[in-house]
Amino acid sequence: MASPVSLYSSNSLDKHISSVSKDSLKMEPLTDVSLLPGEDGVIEKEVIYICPFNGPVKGKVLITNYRLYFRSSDSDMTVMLDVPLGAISRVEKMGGASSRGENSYGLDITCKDMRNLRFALKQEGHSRRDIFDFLFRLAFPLAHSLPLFAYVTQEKYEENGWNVYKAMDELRRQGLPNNKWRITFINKNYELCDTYPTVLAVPYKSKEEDLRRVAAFRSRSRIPVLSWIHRENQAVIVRCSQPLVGMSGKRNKDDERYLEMIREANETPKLTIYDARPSVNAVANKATGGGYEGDEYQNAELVFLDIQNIHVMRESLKKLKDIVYPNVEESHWLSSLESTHWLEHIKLVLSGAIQVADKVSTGNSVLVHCSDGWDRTAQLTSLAMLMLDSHYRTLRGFEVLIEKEWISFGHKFASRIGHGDKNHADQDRSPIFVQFIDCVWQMTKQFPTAFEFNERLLLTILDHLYSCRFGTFLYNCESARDQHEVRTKTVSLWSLVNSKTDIYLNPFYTPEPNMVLCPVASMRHLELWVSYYIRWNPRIRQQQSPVEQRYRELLALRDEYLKKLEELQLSDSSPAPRVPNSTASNTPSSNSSTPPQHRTHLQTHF
Amino acid sequence: MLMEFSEHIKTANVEDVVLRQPLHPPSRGTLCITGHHLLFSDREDQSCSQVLLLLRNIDAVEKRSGSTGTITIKCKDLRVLQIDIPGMEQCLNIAHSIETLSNLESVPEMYPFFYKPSDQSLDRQWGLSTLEQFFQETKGLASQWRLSTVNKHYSVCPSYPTSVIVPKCINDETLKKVAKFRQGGRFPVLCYYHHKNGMVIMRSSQPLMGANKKRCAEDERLLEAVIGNSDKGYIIDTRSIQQSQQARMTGGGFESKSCYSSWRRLHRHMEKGKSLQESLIKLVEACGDESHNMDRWLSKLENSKWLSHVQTALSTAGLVAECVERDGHSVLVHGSEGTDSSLLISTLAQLIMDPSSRTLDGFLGLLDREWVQAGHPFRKRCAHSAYSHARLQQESPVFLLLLDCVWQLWRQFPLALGFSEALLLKLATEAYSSNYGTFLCNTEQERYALGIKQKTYCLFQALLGPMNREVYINPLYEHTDLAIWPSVHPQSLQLWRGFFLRWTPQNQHLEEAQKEIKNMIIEQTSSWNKLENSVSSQEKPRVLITGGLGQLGVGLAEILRKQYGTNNVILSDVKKPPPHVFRSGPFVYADVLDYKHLRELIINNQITWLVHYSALLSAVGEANVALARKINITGLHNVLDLALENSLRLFVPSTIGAFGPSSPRDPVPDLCVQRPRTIYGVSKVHGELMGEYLHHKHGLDFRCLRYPGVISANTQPGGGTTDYAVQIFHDALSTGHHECYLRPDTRLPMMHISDCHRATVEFMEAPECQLSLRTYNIAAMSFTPEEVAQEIRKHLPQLKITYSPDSVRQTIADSWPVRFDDSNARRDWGWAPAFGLEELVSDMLHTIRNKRTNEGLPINSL
Repeated sequence: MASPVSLYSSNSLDKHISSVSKDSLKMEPLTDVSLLPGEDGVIEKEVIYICPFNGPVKGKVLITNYRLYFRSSDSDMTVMLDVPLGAISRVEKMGGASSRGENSYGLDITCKDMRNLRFALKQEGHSRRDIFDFLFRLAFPLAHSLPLFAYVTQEKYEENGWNVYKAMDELRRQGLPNNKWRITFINKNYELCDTYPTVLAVPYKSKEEDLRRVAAFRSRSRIPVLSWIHRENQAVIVRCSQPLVGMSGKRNKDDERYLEMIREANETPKLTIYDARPSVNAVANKATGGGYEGDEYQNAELVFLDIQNIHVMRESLKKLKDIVYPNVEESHWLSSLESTHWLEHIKLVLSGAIQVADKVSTGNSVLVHCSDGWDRTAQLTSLAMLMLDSHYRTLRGFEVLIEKEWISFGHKFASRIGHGDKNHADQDRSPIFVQFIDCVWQMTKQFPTAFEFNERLLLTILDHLYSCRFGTFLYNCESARDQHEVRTKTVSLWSLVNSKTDIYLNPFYTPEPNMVLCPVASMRHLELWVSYYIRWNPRIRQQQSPVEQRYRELLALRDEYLKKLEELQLSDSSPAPRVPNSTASNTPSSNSSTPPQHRTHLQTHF
Repeated sequence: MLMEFSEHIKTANVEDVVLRQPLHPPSRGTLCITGHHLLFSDREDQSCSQVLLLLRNIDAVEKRSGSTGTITIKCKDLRVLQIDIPGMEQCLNIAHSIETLSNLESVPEMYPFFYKPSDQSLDRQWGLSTLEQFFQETKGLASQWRLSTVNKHYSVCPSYPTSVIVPKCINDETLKKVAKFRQGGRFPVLCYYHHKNGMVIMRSSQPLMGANKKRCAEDERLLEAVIGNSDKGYIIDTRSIQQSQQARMTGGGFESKSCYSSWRRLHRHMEKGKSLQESLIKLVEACGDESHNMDRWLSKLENSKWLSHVQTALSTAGLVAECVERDGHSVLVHGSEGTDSSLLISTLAQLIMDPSSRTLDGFLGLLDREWVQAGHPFRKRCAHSAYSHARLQQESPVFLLLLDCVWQLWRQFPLALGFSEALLLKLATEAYSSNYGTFLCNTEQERYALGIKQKTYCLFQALLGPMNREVYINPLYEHTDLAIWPSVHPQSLQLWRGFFLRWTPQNQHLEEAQKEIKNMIIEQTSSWNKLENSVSSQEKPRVLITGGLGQLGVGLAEILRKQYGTNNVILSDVKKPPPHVFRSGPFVYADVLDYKHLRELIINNQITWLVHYSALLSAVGEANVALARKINITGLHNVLDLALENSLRLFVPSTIGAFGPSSPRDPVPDLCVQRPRTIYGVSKVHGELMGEYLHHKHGLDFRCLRYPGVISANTQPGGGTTDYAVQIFHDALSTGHHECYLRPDTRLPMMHISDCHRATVEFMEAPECQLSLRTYNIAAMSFTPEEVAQEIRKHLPQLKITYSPDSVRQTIADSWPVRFDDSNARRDWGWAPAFGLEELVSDMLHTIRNKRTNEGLPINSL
């Protein structure tokens, strides 16, 4: 007689209770691999996937110029992997030709998206050599003078996502230019600042020479420019890099005057300067020529927001990965989570943004910077704008926000992510953008009806942050993108999204145009984003918002009924009416993803 | 009574008091204290807001003196209020009154005895279902189990209800002996029966084994009886092995392997009592920590261990459910007293396995049975909550832990539970202080002694009232028969913010957003419902009737055509239709033996319903068995195949003739032995079985009614055994003499044709989900030739009737049932006949008389 098959027994007392359950084996929906236009398979091989959840799984792996695809051959247990090569940060050989032990010879793959993959191969005949070589070449094309997949793909979409953001349109939406702020094209050839966009909004009173002189005093010439203006009170969010104060405590009258012009634009009594860094770091930066605004800036107050740098964030996420992959920490989960400090960093970023938003909504202009103004600054300004401006909480508005605050203002995606680059230990890599998306997710949890988009969009964005399938996140700044003709030679991620928006929309979205969101950045109200960070673990119940899905089904059914009703009313007058069969077989379904049995299923319960 | 309270109230009213409460700005007003309430009214505001707080809800009072006194009130629902009172003396008086009145011990003085809701009356049922009802409603239980009233005077076990469910073969004497061997007399009783495999969950207290390893043969026999034919059972002991061994030193113990060889013991250490209370206190302290330094929040949360208690409870319940559902074995759950963890585990295991406990009504019923009636000592456990400074006695938040676990289930399966988070929050508050009597005492015995059920109102009944129901249901609830296996990894469990951070503005905001979402869903659901109705009312079937020129086809077609349009109903037969039939609507030639032609008909006409009336009836069939076999069986197979192939809704009539002499005759149920003695009957049973087989195997929408003898004035019967009942009316009005081919006492079920048509149409229109069967008896009346003759004589006293029984038909009639039991049809799709014998006779005479008059035939009316 069989013993209970137990999910609930980890106690050594009950060794007779084994611990495998059929329910837990489902990984991803089973589909045959369908390659993208322009995607080509290069090698197919029998391997054993050392699955951390189910043990070794025999199957076939297919490597293409875009992905690594694995499918188990065992019919009663389906395991499937579909990993874009762009998500791979490291490929290593494991064991040698003479290694002993089962499955000790093969490949060890580290991914950027919170998982690792191990494959075992046959030891005879250098069986891993070819697959290793292909993987290494295709996962790190830049090291082999190969193009990124975004330049190879032939995908076509109804909508061109590159049209989502046009700097001038967005400024005009905000009511700019006006009598206090003007648009300057001083950077149209990236001469003033090579990491800024070409179109900039600056104080009306400032002259082009002023801008050049200020650029000389700001790290990497990233001068203070307007990011967002409050329609009613005209308070602004201005972003820049740190001033080049240095050890000697240099001053720059032009910079001081320029900040005064920003303050004057809406007669803010005191311009608040948010320095995202901890104050010690700001001080330490003086040693390398940087620093912060001192007392010489009259009518300004400086607030440090204590957000750590890219290295701290990288290590924090690494620690988080250690406690969730491959095995989740069981016995001291909460204190282990605490010791990663990941949620604490999230809290600091969010609470910084809240302060910015609060200042601006009460009519005070603010200036935000960190060291170079492309990591923490982007987090703070974009999150504050998300709180202040409901437009950014729509699907397209959110795309604009990312395009504007992150992409055009030179968040160094290429360095932070390392697209196509084999140097996995590069100290420039850091999950700053992931952290931003996490903060957005926290906000969507706290305000479930305030965002037009859903969690799926956030997951999709993060997946394609690494995938290299779209040009959106490639390169460090606009000048580099121009040089590599990203807009003409690659497809935008927003083409994919905007061609099929329905799956990314939050059905509970209720627009409230003038509402300022004020999230709580208390640890008590923050949650680990389990459905992102632990999504590879099939044993953790994934909350893919069944409520949202069910509601969406209801909406789809409503549409179907409306359509049917219309048909019926049309056909009613004719002598021999065509009556659709009650099963959906000859009724055109408005939503093919809703299986017909759902309807009968629903009928019984309402 | 009031005097006793007023003793404790030195200052009843204070003016100019400032109230600070969470989520509201401070407000100034008057504070009143009564025997049961603290009442604050805000005078400044025109709207005059009031705060009414049940004193019983107050867990702790702290006073701080200064120029004005400040009282901090900490409530059992975790709310913290602050009241500034001018004047030290008044402040001290108020604080003293609150302290005394909130701690009054005497149950009959508590508020539920004074509470009089306007919309309820005391004579309503108290509680949701008694164990007797539970026993009766649980199908399959009665074969192995019985309801025992051994405890009717609470003499065997003071904490059990008067009735319990025990193995059938164990008598009350044995139970009494077992009770002596179990702590507090809590002998093993059944609390859950798993329909799918007949396995059960039992619960009890620990056996009183003691240091010298006492045994109790009756106890062993009782548990052996639970095992029955199965090979073993599991005992889930909610203590660690060490604890259960130590329990022997104080007279307790466990079921040793040698004495209970069929049972395997599994130990799961579950915290209870004091350590659980302390865990709650730590958690609430961490949640209320207002200091800005929140760095250590997660560690504090972990250190409180609350979530690990949640995890243990859910995983132990999961283990129980696995034993029962996956492994197919019965389980006995107990710890020491059997009034805390055992109830927690059995309740959660039932929620995991049993869909009927996941609805709003089902869940409250479960709580009523497993907590209130089963003797969870609410009064002791919920005397104080997390803030009290009083020395801990027997407080323990076991019930709160249950609600938290249920919330985790609810979060992981938001569609599978039929109730809302609001219900759990409500219960968490009410368990500690309430207007209702439900949670007042420790046991049913105490409730009985205090007259709780006569003098107080029942919370569960109130929650199910029409106004409340809307608040407490889950509009997205979707029934599932599957077990809901919770994930118990710490990553899958969460702090129940809705309860523990309930009074923070953020949570308030989130709650509002959730409410908004709920409203959207409700709105959507109702608009969807309306749409569905209007679609289904407009979506008309296309009907083909075979054998349409028999007794029933034309009449049915007429009704269906009225409902669905003339062109949507096609009559067919192999005969030439009379002119009025031909003119009344589409008629086609169709031979049920010609498969190909029938198929063409169905496809070309987009048929969705098929009514298969083509058959040779009993008497005619016996005369030509070969033809009957062809038409009734081969023809039916053609029709079944076509219905399946084209997803048709198929109606095939069956008959009283489908029963034989070995079937129960008075009345005959839907399901019984069917051994008919006619080819007609045999072919009909064959049809019933084939249709149901194809329904179960391939989902064919097969529907079958067993018609009694059908009596109609306008159409001639088709050669059945009940034909006399039509002929007799014609004879009565023509010759005044009827010669009956049946004996005068031959009783048979009969029905007026209009009832028969209506039954057919209503049955065809019934949604599939309402049908628990595919073949139903329908009945209207049963009479003998003598009885119908008597009834006719009321109108035509001269009717003469002679009897010359015909051996073929009499034999057939004698093999048939005399009455139909149609209770399933009445219950499932609302069948109810309109014609009884009296109505039938007057209608028949009236119609036939008119007909004869119209046709110029003489009428014998004298």
